Amino acid sequence: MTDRTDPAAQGPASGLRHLARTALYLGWVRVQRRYVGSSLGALWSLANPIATTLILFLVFAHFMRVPIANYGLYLVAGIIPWTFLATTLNTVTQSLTSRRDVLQSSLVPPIVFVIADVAAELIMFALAYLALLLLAALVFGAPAAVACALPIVLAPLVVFTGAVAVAVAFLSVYFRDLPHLLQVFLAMMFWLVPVVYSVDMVPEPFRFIVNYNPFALMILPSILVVHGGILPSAKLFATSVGMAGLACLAAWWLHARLRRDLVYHL
Amino acid sequence: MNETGERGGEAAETIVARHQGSHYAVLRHADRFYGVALDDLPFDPERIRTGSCRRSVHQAASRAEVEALIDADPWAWSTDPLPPVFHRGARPAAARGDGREPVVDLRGAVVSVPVRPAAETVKRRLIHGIRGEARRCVALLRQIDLAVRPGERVGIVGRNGSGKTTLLKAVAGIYPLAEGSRHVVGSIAPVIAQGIGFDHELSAATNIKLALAHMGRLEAWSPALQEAILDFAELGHRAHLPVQLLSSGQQARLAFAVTLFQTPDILILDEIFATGDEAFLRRATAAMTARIRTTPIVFLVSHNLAPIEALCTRCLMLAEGRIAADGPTADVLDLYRRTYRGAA
Repeated sequence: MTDRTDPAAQGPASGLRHLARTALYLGWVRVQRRYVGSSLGALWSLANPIATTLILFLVFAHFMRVPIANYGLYLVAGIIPWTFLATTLNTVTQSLTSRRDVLQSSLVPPIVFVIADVAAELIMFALAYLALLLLAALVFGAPAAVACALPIVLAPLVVFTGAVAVAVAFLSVYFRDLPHLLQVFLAMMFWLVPVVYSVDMVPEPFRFIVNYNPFALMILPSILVVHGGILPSAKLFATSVGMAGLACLAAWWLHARLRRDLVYHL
Repeated sequence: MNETGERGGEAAETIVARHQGSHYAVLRHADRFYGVALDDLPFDPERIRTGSCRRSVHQAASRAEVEALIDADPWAWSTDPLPPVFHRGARPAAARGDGREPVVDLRGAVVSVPVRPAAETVKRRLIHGIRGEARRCVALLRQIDLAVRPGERVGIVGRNGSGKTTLLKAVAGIYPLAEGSRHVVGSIAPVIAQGIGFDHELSAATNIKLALAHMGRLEAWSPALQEAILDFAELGHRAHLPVQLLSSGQQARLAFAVTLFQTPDILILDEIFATGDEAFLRRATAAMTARIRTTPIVFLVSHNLAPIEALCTRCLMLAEGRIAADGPTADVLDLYRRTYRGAA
């Protein structure tokens, strides 16, 4: 069987640039839409990470006396990227299933809507991270100059999250248990990523859980830059880049396999 | 409204009669007679040339001829005074640059949809997986052979569940084929549903851009297009109101106007005709007629046979997912009426 629309004569839905523009626009509208009518507006995006940071700070810094200097800054450095990763993955489980009517009447590729949702979360992440870093700078003192390298250091995390999000969104259409499973998985994974404790505190026999955990590899570079004031080692950065690349390949393979009949499974 | 249509002291025209209740005025200007919607007064004949009238304008050499044009079946309206932006991008195939004509060619096309059991348990899924059983499928289209060339406007009729919308989606490429081949040359605009992507908490203006994005036409957005769409929907003064504050009729107008302003090579319409008050209906019908007549290939599904009869050069009758008849519109509609007398 063949199914072909002459690419030379395709409509405006063709072209990567056009699709990227559409995804970014839809993402931006989603951000605007999220706080329509609320009095605090985008400030609500800070509520969850601030509340989480404060309660963890209270419990781990004061009750359990975790031996990490500048523990508040440590939490901020890890919790915001983790929240971006976890929120994005939870959000995209509905990216396609909630747009059934659109996908069954439009020629816009489904992946555009997934990227739009990732873009919306990325915008909120950038705003929250910037706001909390400024707040942390006021409380704990200015971060080191290497913080300027954050956009590059965070790039693998963003790419990794986007790639895993595409895979999760497409798989969620075919396997309706996945969103529930993912919630359980992310709740467990939160404690297996060193955002409330440092890698040094993990006993040697269990350290492989952190060292070979792709989620930890994505979060650690930002903790090193923001809290440690140092750039990640070349090995760590290369590993996180490689992991993001692998995630992209896996997402591309899954997308190629699942996109064709997706419309029938919505 | 100024009854004499005076514009800044200049007597641009003279109203000689009102026609069709109060919707149209018959005007005389420079020995020509015009049938003009009252919304377009004060009337300036220059607006016909520039295409900035809000409604269809009929012109003829005599008052009787104009009145006859207004009375005529709306599908027969010949004037097309829509905003110039309406026609932007419309181009004959030869002018596209590649010299290729738009084409739709389906051969042996089968569309088959997997059935998801209402209560699919993990146990049942595991058993199916171990046994290697494929999920049960239902064929919605069977062995469709269809070749459509430029200039053909194809009407599709059939009872509910006969496969009309599925065929449109297969032509558009929304539904992949289980068997057979699909070859399409040209840009496609599937208008299967209206108002897709609308967010009722956002403004009418934002929703225009949002709807274009959901239709894969974000590149087409411009302030001029947005203004033309709002003007056509008569919502220019409510552009910044949230859509949820518009009446359902106004929402329908907006949705219709967004789908109208596009110029594809292949236009696919599924029961897309305007709803609203009589005046809007008249104008929308004229505009959609103009759009259909200027598009190289059109597919039109409608349970109302009048537009198919008036606009389509060819007609398909579907039954049980197969093409039961394919031929000149009058013949196929005649067969359809005889076959489903009382049901159509």
